[in-house]
Amino acid sequence: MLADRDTSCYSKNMKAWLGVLGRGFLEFFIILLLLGFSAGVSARLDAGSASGLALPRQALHAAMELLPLALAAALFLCFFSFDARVRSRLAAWLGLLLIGAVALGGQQLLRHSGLATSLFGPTAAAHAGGRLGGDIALQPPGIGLADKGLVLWYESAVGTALTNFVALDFRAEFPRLRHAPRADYDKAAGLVRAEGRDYAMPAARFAAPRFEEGLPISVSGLASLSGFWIWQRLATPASAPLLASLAAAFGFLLFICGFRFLTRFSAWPLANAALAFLCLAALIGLDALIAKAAAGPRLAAMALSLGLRLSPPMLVAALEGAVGLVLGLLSIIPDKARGYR
Amino acid sequence: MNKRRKILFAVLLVDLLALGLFFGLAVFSYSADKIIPLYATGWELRNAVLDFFRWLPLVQFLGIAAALASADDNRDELVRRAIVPVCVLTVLFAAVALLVSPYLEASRASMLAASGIYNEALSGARQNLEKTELKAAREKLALCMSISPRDPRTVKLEELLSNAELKATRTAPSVPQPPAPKPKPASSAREYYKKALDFFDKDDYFSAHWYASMAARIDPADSDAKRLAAQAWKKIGEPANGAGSQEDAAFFSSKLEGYGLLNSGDPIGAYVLFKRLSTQRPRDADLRRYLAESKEAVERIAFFLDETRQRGSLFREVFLVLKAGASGRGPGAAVLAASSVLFTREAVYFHELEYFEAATAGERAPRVAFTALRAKLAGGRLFLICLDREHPEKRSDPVWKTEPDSGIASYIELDLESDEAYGLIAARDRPAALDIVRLWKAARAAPAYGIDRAPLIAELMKRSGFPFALFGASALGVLLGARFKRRNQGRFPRSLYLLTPLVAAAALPVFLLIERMDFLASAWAALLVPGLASLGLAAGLRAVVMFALVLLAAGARERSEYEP
Repeated sequence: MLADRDTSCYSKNMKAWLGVLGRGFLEFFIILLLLGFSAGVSARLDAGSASGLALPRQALHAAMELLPLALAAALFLCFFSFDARVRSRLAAWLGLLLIGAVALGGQQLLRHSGLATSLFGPTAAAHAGGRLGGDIALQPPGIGLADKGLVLWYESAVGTALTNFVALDFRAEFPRLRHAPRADYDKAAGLVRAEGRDYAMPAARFAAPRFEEGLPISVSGLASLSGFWIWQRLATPASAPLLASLAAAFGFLLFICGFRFLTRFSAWPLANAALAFLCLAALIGLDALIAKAAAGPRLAAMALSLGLRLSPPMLVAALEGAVGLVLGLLSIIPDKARGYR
Repeated sequence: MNKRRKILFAVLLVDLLALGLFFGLAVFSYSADKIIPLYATGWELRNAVLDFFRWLPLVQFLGIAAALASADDNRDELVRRAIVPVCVLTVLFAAVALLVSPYLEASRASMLAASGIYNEALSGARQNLEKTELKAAREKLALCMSISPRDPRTVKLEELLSNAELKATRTAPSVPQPPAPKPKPASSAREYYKKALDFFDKDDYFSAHWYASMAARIDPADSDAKRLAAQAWKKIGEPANGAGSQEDAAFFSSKLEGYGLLNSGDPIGAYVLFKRLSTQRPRDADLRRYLAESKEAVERIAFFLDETRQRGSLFREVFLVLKAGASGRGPGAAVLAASSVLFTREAVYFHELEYFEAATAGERAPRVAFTALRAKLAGGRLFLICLDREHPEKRSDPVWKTEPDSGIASYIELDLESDEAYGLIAARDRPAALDIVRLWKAARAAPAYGIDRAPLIAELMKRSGFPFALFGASALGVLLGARFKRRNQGRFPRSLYLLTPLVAAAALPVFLLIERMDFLASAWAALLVPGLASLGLAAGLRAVVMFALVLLAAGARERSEYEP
């Protein structure tokens, strides 16, 4: 009877563990798709083209790049799922590491095999930087567009010859409306020439913001971390050593998993979830700061003094991995001491 | 207390606290340099309510999540209990926000525009006063007084300007008299003479004198008219005719002159004259009647300056293209621009108006072109002459660059109703201030009036997305609140509510991220499917994203067999 109960308990635990694991993968894919779609759409808007065919490729490329971010968010959600459903902390840890290993390992393997580039490589439009081609588009006829108090309008156009062109500068003294029966448009310069004056075409019509525009990462202080974000560090070319990439990936994974103790920070799970989310954002920043410090001389000198001859990426991986492991052990051991599994 | 009501009250409490917070922020951020004190309280209230609506999805999420996460029931029961109150609140708030927001936006924008005009005019008037450009200073001060006459800054400047004007008038040269009216043709002179003879025969010497004088003025060669005028004047001077003093005669003569001007199609001249006479003899019955008649006649061809000082919706930097043929004078488009436009119930008032009607193919110059310092649109007419009601000799007239074929007039016909003009100008300037029906109509009609449709469609997307956002946020609040609730840990300690700001701090960036995703998806949908059909695509995208977020928030099923 005891044996039967143990077997039943074990199979229920296993079922719960697998259930959370599956849930974790689902949440990871949902977050990845949302991030990828947003970044992809932002890139298409920036290119000024809505071509439906380019979007899936652009979105997948963005998803590949932003995978570490999506994984970190999914893992933080999994902390709570494992906490709620799986009693064993060790089993929970294993589950988290498995999710991370599959995601990050898969990403690095795809990159280094060259499949990532051929399947999800960036399109030309993603790097066009705004305008495709050299000419600046003329605003549509019959529509008055304003830019910093200057309104431009024309009735119709045949090629670059405009009919009934109107320029209205509200910054000037009254009367301020200038009308020219004929005007010429200079495509390359984006200027309308009318009766001895030049008028620049207004800025892009109703330009949609980039995904990161106005968000905290556009703040100048954080912009200095450009190149050190985890998704940028893991976006290594196929020619880079696989071991270094995997080490960086797993170091980050351990670092993230080490903060599982946040699920029990207070007696209110909702507040713990909020704190976890805020800490996730802080950890991403901290990771970038560590990577930046590792690229500098101080941390390298400190590592040398400890007898560690490691390249900056390996140094970061080692440091983060160690912090994550220590924090993880610190959260498991007290529970074991109290008799929890 | 009923648990559903408990959830409802908890959410409403959070909503009220949020509204109070937004009001506090609005009071804190108020600046007299931006909004004049007259509008301070109104501005703060409108800002608070609009900010509350803007952040309502986040507030709802926070309230619902906190209420459910602190409840004692098990998860499934909690979700079941929360659905009805959440749905009721969502529907109510969405309806109120969609109905009320446009009006609040409109009045807030109007306050901002009026304050901007006031501050610029005040600053300009002060500069003019320093440079002793008194006329310009007076015009700008008049603008300030029309917006906020009791503002201490206006009152003070009025005192300074009045003193300056008083000093200036002591040494000012005499103002030249306005030119005499153009004489009428000879046939009119004969008619006046015949009338003069009729009146003379009936012993009405005042009328006879006036008509004879008019005939002589029109045709100076007519000696009969001059002789008759002299005879009538002599008769007036005889005491037997009860004429009274010469002063009475002069007054009466002026009165008749005004009446003549009125009948000859110069109501403005008549009104100027009668207004002047009314200061001498305000109780004269004829004068009062003629003054009213001339005022009525003036209102048919011009308008008064004090009409532009009414309260209404104010817009700045207006540019409008009227559909081809709206002027009725040709197929070309008509372009209308003004530095500001005031919408009242009766009419539309323009300040610094510029107007032209485009030439058709083959012509170079516009068909009609003019500028007018002030103009009024009412009843399908654009009135171009503006008079000061108390000093009608002060007037602003249009400056014609190209006259219409029918000749210079005090007004032009324009096929544009006030309501239509409001919809078009608001569509360009502040689409958020249009109610959903007008916004929809404006989005369809925009290109015909030279208005860029993209911001209107974006506003429609935003409006249509609001109920989605509110319901989605509420649903996520329910799911996350239930997912992250305490499990079998006894009664919820109230001290844990102190951690609510932490939840708000975490929810804020997530809300902004989701909002950004929604905006990007809408913009992409608008680019992919131009026109109003993009709304359908955006709705579909929103539904997919909402489904994904609900899946994310729902989490795994709760363990029941492993509870300690």
